[in-house]
Amino acid sequence: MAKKDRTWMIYVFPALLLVLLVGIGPLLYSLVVSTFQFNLAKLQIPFRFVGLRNYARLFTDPGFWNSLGLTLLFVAVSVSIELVLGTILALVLAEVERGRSLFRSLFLISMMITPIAVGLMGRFIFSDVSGIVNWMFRLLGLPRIIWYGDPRFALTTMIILDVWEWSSFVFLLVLAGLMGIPPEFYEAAHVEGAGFLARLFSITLPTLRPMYVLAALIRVIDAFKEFDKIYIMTKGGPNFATDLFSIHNYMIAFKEFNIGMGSAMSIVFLAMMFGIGTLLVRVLTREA
Amino acid sequence: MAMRRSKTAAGFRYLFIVVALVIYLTPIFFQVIAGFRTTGATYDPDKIVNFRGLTLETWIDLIHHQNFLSYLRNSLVASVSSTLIIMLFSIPAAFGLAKMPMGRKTRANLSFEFLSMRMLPGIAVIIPIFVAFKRLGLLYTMQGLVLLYVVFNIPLATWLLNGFFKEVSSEIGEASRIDGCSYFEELVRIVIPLSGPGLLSVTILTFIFTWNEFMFASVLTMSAIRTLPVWAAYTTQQHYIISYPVLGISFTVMIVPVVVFALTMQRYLIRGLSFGAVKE
Repeated sequence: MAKKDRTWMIYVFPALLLVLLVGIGPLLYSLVVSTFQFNLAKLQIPFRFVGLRNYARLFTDPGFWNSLGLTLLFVAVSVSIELVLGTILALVLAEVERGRSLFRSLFLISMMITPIAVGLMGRFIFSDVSGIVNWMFRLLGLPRIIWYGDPRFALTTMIILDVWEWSSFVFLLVLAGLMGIPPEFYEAAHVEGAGFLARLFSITLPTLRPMYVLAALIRVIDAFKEFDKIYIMTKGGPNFATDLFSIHNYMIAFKEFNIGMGSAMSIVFLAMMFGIGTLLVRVLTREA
Repeated sequence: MAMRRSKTAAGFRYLFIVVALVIYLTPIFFQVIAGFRTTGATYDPDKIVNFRGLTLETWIDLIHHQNFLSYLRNSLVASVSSTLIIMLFSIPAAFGLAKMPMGRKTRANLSFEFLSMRMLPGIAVIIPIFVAFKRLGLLYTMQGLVLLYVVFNIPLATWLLNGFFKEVSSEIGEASRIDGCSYFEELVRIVIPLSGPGLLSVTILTFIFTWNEFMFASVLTMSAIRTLPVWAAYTTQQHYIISYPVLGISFTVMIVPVVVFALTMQRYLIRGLSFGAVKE
């Protein structure tokens, strides 16, 4: 048998080793540290093995469950609205020939600009005294709302911003999918006199299923990790109303410097992302 | 009759798009223009849509009296240097994955490996990195930040390049190897020249991702080496009264490169943002 050609290793391994070194290495470290009492801010607390106590404390902490519940709500509501809005935009734009390219570019902007910049913008437009949103509300005779400063509206504000930022992602994916549907698919339906809704639900949406799976998975993963906009607007407040998972985890690790607890929570986070992440990677590698 | 109806429908479509675009772009417009207003005007409820008296005052102030330019430089240094290093590692890796002979299973596993790294939540990476960098003296250094950016972005860059390289016909490479051409020559003489747009788009995407990054930079940078997003977050916490003009300017400076790329290279960016799934 001929000697196997292993030249590819020279090309692939430098990148792979680097990624594993800083990807897997730290995770193993986190796994170990999550079983230790380890606080960088309070050096009087000794560094010692505590078994699963960090996890036990995490799971009995109402703050943890609050952040998990808020995150699930945030992800479910934002991603659903984004899927619907993105679909509507795509259906309208698919029929428009002139200017389509320009429209696409413009809608690309929100999802590409710095998330911190989106947060800065949110602070200004939703500002209760001088924001454009409340100005519009006054114009329409609606009450003045303290958007991100009021626990009742803070999460809603974040959802609105996220929808602004990411609906176009769904839109671009669905539009690309729509362009790829052969016109013959519709011709038969046209002959049978199927209406718009019938065509939408019997031809368009089923054909685009793979696109939706992809868009939904990517969006769910990214929304679950949401950090930047919230950090710059509310830091999880007011009164923990926007204390999403990443924010809560960050505060434990880098405000209290409780590295042991922070690591434990990040391991839980990782475990939750693992399932859905694997699913996405499967979808992506199957197509390739 | 049918003709007229379709014309009306087209009219409604454009109307819908224009309304959607106005709603969509209005916040950006207000944020950019805030940079040209006075702090007083941005707090005045009667001047929300009254833009009289625009001024360059805050721009000049920022450029002259604060370290704004050095934060801009930090952002550029971090993004450009990590992008270059990422390409240096990703191009050969992607070439190996796309073009070189290896077991089918190995190839699938490697692709899987690279891509799944991209799914890690940043917070799970940054806690141990913080502790490790503290020990190694890399904390609060530009080298440390670039190192993390490089490692964290290699997976996606490799995955996307792999997709572009696969589209280059293998026949030329195989023919050239019969003529005694090595893999390295195939990469440099055939694959790289034939995937110009792909290389450019991955380079730009990587630049944007590192330019936009906040969480890692907020933990790993301090005072002199802060990047723009970190500085922007820091200013909002420093003062009791936030300066909306300053926020407007940080916003504008942060989004300029991104907007330029979005307007000029949309197709390639869409492909990159969908992990290579949307090909046009």
